[in-house]
Amino acid sequence: MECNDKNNQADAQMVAAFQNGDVGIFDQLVLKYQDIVYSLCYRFMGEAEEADDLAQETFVKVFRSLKKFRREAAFSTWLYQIAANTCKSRLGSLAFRFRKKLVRIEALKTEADLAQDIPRFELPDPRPGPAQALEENERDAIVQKAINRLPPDQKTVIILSDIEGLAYDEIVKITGFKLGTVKSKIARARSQLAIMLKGKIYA
Amino acid sequence: MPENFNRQNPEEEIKNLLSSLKAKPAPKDFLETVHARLEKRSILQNIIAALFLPLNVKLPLELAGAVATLIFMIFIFNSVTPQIVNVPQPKLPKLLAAKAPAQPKIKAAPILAAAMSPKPNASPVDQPIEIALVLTDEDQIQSEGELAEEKGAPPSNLATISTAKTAAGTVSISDKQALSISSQIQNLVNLVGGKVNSIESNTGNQPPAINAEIPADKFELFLKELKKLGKVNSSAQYISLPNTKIVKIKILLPQ
Repeated sequence: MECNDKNNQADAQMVAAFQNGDVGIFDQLVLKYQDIVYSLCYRFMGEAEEADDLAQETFVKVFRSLKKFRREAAFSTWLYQIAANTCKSRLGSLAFRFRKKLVRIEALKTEADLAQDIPRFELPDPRPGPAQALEENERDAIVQKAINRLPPDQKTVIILSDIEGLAYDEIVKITGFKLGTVKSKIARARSQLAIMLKGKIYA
Repeated sequence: MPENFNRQNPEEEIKNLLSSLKAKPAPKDFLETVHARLEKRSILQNIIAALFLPLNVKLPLELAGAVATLIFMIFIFNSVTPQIVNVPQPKLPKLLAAKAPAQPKIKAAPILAAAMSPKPNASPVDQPIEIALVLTDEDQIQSEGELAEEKGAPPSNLATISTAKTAAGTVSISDKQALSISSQIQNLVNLVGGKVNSIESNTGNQPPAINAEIPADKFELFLKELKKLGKVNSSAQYISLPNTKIVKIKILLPQ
């Protein structure tokens, strides 16, 4: 908690400096939060290219709105809010959904592989490498695929809660849902993931 | 794969599984790409973003503003534009449409007025044109009041008047008739866009007269209408000068 408060104070100082005209301070904010935002976007979209594009878009929006930021909430909360909304908008866009439909049609041929109990994202690597790392990558890919199949609201709350490790009250501020709604959506998402990952992560 | 996966509480394990996922690092040139993106946005994009984003808020507001402006402009236009109302021309009283005399009509042909004008040095347009109105026996001019009176009048009055007409070629008229003629002539002057300057009463030597001014382009029309009242004699001839706008006339009424 102390760490959080210190972090928030540091952010508030940087924001104040930016609003007073020090535009260069924006680079520091980007460097501080780029991994978090990128990772969040990746978990939302499931692919690196989209995640890169949306992470950039998030920081562009932050830059354009930072002058008007009233500092009522913590900067990190506001940043998460922008990132989550940007990703949700993209997920809901017609172009993205159409593209995903095409990819799904192409991927139908691999369903047979799944039926034969072969992991879908098995990455054969001819080069010798740590088996553990390979195993982690495979597991990551399988889990990400399951997360992609969640409904948008459940996906949002499960990513913010279990992957990003945010507290419930922060998730409430970011999403605008009520506390009870956040908890129920998290529980529902977990049970869905458990069903989807059965037989892939565990027997 | 985690071998000690807790099947009794899968949700808890899912939570642990998700929290164990490694964070994805941003590309190394992420900051540069963000800067490039910031600079790339054109002025037009900024304008469009400012005007239209968010769509669900700004578009309805702008539409409402456009509609309100349109209504306001229509209101202003209707207030400023004078309404053109077609005013029907007042009809001349029945009496003015009386039969024209059978005598040959005198045309107001434009001829040189210098030979006819009483003041050779004076400009023709300065002198009023004298027009004498003479009633003949074929003219039946009656005021509205007299119509009712003469209905019951004894035939002998009409015969006396008729005799007098035959003898002199003109008819003597009563005061009421004179008043009626005078008012009709005044109406006629007003109808052609002129104005009556003065009315001279009967002084014994001089007949009653109406001094008026009428637009030069309406003079012929005025004469034409006046002839419906009776015979018209003019002392001077009207000449149409290019710059003449107003013509002074003096209409000598029948005594």
